[in-house]
Amino acid sequence: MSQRPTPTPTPGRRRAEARPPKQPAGKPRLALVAAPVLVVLLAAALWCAGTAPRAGGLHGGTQETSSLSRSVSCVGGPAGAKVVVGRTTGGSTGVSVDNHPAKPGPVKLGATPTRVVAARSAAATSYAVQSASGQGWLAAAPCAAPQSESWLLGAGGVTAHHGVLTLDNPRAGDAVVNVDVFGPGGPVKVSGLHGLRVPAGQSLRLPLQKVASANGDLAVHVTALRGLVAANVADQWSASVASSEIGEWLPAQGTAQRRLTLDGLDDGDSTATLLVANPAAKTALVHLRLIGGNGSYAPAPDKTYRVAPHTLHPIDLSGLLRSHPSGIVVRSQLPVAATLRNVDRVDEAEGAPAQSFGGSGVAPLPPGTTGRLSLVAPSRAGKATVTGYAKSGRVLGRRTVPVKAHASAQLKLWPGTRSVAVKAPAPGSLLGTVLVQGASSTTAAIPVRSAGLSSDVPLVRPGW
Amino acid sequence: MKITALLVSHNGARWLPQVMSALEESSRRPDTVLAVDTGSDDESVAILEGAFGPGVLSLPAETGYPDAVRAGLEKAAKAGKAGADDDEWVWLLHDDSAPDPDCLEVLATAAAKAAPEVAAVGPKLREWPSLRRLLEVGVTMSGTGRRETGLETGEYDQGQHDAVVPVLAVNTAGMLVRRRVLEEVGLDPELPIFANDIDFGWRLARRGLGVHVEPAAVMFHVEAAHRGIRRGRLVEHHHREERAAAIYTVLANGSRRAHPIRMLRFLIGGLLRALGFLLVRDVPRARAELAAVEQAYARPGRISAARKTRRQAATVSDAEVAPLLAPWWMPWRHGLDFVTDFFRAVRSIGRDELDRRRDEKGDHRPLSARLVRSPAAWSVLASIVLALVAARSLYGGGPLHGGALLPAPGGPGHWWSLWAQSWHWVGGGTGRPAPAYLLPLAVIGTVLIGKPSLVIWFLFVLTVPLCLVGALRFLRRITTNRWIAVLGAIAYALLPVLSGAVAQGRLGTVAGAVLLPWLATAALGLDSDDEDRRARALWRTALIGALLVAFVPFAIFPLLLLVPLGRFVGITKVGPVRLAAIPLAAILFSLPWLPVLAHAPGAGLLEAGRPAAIHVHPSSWDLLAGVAGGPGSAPFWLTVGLAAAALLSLIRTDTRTRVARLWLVALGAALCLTVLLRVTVTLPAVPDQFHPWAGFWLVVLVAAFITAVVVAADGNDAFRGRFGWRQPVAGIAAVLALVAPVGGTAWWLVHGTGTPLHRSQVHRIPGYMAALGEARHADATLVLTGGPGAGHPALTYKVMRSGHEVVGDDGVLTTTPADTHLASAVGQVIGAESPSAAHVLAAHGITYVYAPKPVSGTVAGSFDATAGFTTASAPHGGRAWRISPPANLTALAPGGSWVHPLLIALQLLVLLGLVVLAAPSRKEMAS
Repeated sequence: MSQRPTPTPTPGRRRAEARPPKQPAGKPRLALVAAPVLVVLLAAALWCAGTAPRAGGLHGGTQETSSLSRSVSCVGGPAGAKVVVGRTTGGSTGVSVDNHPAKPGPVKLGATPTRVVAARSAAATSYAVQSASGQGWLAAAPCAAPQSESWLLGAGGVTAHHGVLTLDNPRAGDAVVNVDVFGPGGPVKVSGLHGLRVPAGQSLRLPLQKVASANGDLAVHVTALRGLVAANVADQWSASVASSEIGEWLPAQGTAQRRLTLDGLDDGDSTATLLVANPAAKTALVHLRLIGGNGSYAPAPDKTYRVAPHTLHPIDLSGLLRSHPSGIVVRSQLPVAATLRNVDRVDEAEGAPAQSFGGSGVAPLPPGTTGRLSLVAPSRAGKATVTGYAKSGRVLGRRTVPVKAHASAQLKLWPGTRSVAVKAPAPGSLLGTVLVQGASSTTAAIPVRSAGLSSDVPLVRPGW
Repeated sequence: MKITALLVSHNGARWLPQVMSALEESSRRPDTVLAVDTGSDDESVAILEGAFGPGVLSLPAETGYPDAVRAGLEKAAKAGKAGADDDEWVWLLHDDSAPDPDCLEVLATAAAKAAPEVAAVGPKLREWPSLRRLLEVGVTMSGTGRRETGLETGEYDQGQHDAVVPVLAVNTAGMLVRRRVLEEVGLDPELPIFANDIDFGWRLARRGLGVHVEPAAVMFHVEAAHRGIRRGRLVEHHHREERAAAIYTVLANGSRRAHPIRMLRFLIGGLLRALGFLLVRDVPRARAELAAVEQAYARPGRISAARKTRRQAATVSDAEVAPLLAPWWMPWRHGLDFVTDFFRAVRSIGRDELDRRRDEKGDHRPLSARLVRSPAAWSVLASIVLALVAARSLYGGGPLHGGALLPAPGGPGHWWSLWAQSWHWVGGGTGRPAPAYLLPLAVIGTVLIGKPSLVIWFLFVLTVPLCLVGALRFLRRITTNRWIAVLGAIAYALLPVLSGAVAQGRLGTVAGAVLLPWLATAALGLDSDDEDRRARALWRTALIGALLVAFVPFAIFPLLLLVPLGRFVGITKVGPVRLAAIPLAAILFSLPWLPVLAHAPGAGLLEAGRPAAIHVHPSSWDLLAGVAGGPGSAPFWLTVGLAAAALLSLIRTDTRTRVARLWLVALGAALCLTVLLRVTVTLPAVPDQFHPWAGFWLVVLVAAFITAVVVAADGNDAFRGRFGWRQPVAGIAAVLALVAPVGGTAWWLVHGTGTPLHRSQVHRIPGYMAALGEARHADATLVLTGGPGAGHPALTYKVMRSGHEVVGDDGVLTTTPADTHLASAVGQVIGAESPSAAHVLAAHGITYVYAPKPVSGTVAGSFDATAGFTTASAPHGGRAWRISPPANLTALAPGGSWVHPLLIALQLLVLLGLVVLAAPSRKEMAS
């Protein structure tokens, strides 16, 4: 028998390694001590994490462009109308009037719009307020900025009233606009006011009594289909045949909204009327809340006002003002536009819905007037820093004004104040109106708007 | 016929006794036996002398086999033991080859009958020690230098190759060769150990001589040199020597026409083979491959001389020899075989693992039977079905996106491009590096038939099954009770859904939740007693940790803490120095992205996904329950029971230490949550300040609770003893722990995947603008949103160079500061300040300005009224303007860091290295 080589053992398939034994119990005593400590520490850490304050707001590195060049259009109408141009910091450097450097002192306004342009460097601190006054009346309003949509409520379109709508296009491209007029009885028939072309750099004057003749108060709605226009309505009327003419600029407001806050109710013996325009095809159901120093509250009697489609509806507030509210909140299920009208003898003070402003807002005061600042916190309580400036830019005073949530706060401005700056705790946290008082207790309402000539020029920032 | 046996030995004492015995048993004895020893330092010489008497020729240790044969023949000639007679044959023998008793007789018979042109006859070689496996029945060589036997690996000899056929060569172990031919042609001394037989046969063929294999003759061969079990200087680097010999043989004997191509082929092939060996962690073979190439090419004159001598001696053409060589397609077949073997090996590994587990459990049922009765298998299957049901709102209708998730790109090329390039035409154009997670996404997207949308779909629709598989694997390692493991795994798998991460499109949390159990499983191996397992566990932990950090950069901190604390808390036997490889690998893997932290440190706190997309403000109870708050998150009471059960788990004394360790992990996660929810992040591209999303740490927190409960429940015999306080406590803990998997599953099914994750077509800009932008970088669109009357007082702008942003773009854009020139130009338009705004925008490669609905009247009016902007078509309610000046890219300076290519090459190397090091060890490595 042959002897063959004997196979030698070789490593076979690797034996799977046995699972490592379970870990020993370790150090139970240490674990007994450590366990409650760990539990407490974990609870503390989670409590700390769960109560972290919310982050929000822009950070300092955001490339935001707010100091844009801005322009407004001022237009005459009331007798003796003039515009005062300046900067809160004093002087008028960087501001031009009709392409000429602005000079100290008021500039007389005529029928042709006067354009005020603030360069970038000056935009944030510039203001332009048009004003006029007469026997027993005072009119004051910020000059109008070019916008895509404007509501002007309270104009008169009958013979007694001489309301003039001025559309100014200061830009390099033509603008095309639609003008609609609503009265208490519904839409007012107008002709040739749709597709109205406003050539670049030109303006149009439209006497309302000719283009939209109707009784009662009118609401003028200007919509730019293309380009932007600055819309002004200067209204003049006579209280009686013998009396001299009284003038007023209607305050412009932007898009209709479901919630409007109108600030600056006069606490004198005036009567107040709320004008509400409903541009929708359905009836708007309007509810009111009054704003006081400690919060907002429902008026007594609390009722719902029905505003018919395409109408301007006046609501008499006389019976609602016994508690001396400083403002009023208008709420509706449909977007509406509203204006508050204070009438003291012959003097009318028209107040548009207050607009929230960015980090800081500015309101100018016409020469020879004093003012009272009314602030409203529409959502959360906050503290505003109010600074009054003289014509020279000198700081007349600075106050911190606390405002409760849904409430208003009043501050009488320092004598000689020509402009007031309000710094809000957060953008959009406050609304404000300055009630200016002229000779013989005449009043006008000037809204506090984002610093600069126009609040409608947006901040520009990169998107995410 | 006279036969002289020539036996050459070199340290073959372990085989020689059996070789001697086999020779003794031979039915046909050689007429003369010559023994040559080449410097053996073992008992080889003594054994030879014991068998054949004194007279063993001793040569220096560096003597190769050809020289030994030549010296032996010379000695025989001098001694007159043999003459150069045509009928005189030499039987070459190795010290590791033992002939079958009939071997020489059969060979001698075949040689006697052979034609004169047959110069050599060889036996069939079988493996020693198995004795049955075939090694060679003749041999040839492929064009790549591979020794071709025509046999399958491990093929048993059943007579299937027993045909007498001409072959190119036979092994020198057992070769019976005419002495005259051997002396005239000789073995090439340039091939001292390997391939000299093939070279000899090849040269015989070129001289018109033949070699036959006689399968009836059997020789048993250890192949000691080839297998690396022979000691000796010449075989010290046997891989290198063998490969160098193969290259030399092919280059010296190959046809002249193919020679240049072969030269190039061996060079490139050598490098590729070396790379391949590196990829399978066979560094010695890689080194040997490179050394062999160097050895062959360092002395080109050697090959030229060899070719010259062969050419001079040749009497037939290369074409006549070609049929004896391996066919051209043979290397390709080997490639295919390799792939097949690879998957076979994977299957084998899987089977081994299953066998191992089966052995441990003593369960010897077939796999199918075990699967049918496996709760784990059923839970995975059920989770897939339930996931498909829960995602009922995510079928059809455009790409998956919403919340923090952007749509997937159309192809993986976008991800590869973002990863590789240092400048990206995304947004306004940026040179900021892309996040590190794009590399794994691109790899997976490429593997998934080039469909990145499938990657996103798998991650978000199959989140639960993906997490379940990993959690099952982890929990089965720490508990013996498979039902507890399944319930724990279900509770874990639901976490990304219940926390709101899936519904909110949180890519980082979802990817992190999928990776976390695998990381934990790998880390378990760090405590192994076996060095090889520990090493692999280290690299697997490093690999998964690197991937995790790519998706959740903040996870680097626990990995860093593991270095000093790992041993201290008793979870690893690996020392701190080696443990440092884990965070170091993660840092190196994320290295191309790390420079952005210099510009935006807050990015280090973010997870993958679009930051600040959804702001959530979880309460402390939410956090304890692993719920992030915000859209799509479950009520906290569904999962808060896990925390309570984990608290009760501390009561059990014998597992308290392990449970306390898990509470330590939970505390770490809670601290991370605290940091992230307390810190306010600012990023260059995100205007708002925000708290970073901390979803991954919620998953870690609750995962620690679940593991604590599983540890405490394992082997809990509270219900077996007498009734006492333990039973109610254990019962309460069980009920609390069960609420999450049971209630969570129900909530998931009813609620579905949830919004804002959804599928819809994405139209950020009109189609024609998107098409233009995708065709040419300079035809971008500036998108404006907001502004007075359009929902937001601020006007925001964004540059779009394609239809919409996709996954990965957000990672680049997040850290890119906005171009102030664009803000200024838009401001100029709004402020009617300068007519040059259109030129500025055009110089940034912007052709269109688009404002989607609702459009701010102020914005629209401003662009209408500015020179250089003409109205273009836009969808209903939107506005668009075409910029009149031709767009160009003069305002941009495309270019990125020159370091970036180096960093991504390093990242790729780190990934490959980690994959290689983490791969299972081959048998010989492990041993």
